[in-house]
Amino acid sequence: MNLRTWVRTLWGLAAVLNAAALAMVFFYAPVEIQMGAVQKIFYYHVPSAIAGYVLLFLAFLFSILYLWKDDPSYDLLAYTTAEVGFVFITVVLVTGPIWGRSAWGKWWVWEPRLTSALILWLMYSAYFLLRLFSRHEARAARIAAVVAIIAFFDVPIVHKAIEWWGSIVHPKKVVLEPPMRQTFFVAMIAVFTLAAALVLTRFMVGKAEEQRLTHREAAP
Amino acid sequence: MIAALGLLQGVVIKTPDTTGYLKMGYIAIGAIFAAYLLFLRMRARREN
Repeated sequence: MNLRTWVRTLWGLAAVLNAAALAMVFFYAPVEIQMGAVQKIFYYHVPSAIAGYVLLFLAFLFSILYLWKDDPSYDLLAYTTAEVGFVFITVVLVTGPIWGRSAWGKWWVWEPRLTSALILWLMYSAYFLLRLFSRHEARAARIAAVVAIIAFFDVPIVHKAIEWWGSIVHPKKVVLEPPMRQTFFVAMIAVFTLAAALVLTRFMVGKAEEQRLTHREAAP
Repeated sequence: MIAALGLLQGVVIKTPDTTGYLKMGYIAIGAIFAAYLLFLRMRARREN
């Protein structure tokens, strides 16, 4: 099976799984007593955060491999996983305040998890700005790899922030009823399939861009 | 398609979302993925 067929299969699977996950979120999972219907944002908010963490970890690994082996394929993989990871972290940072406005009465609270998540988003914004506006491609790729490696160290800080510094808004532990747990499980698979489809699609676009640049350089 | 599903589900749900924040959340998720897919599509078109 070639890459294009893999991408199509993954998109089909992602469509079916996300339709199933959304149906479970809205028609199967019960309404949480304290927060009400808005708690259902949780089913895409948390899986998006986990998918974002995993993708940024992959970007961290590929960046190390790029600096070590000096192979441009690792740079493309790092760029791809960082970009898709950034999209998922954006979903988290947008849905969080919407949920928070309803649950806490405020759009934003300067508490450890939210602040460290915002710092993470800003660091990866710097990564993309560096890549977009640098004239020297190879040098930008090396500096970007260093930025991706440093930025990743914020991921465990975001994850452990509540444990280390406490939080006035985030609970330390979340207990889910069985239907909620099942819905969360399906949503996790759906979000990860969507992430895989996005990564492969972005990788194919990156490869095509690379080929165009190679042709342009080779042209007389 | 996924983004459209998110948007549609966010708009037509029948859960007691009295404040509208649940709809807003899912519309935001749909919009972010739709925007990113559009961005990828534009880049892919430029290459073909």
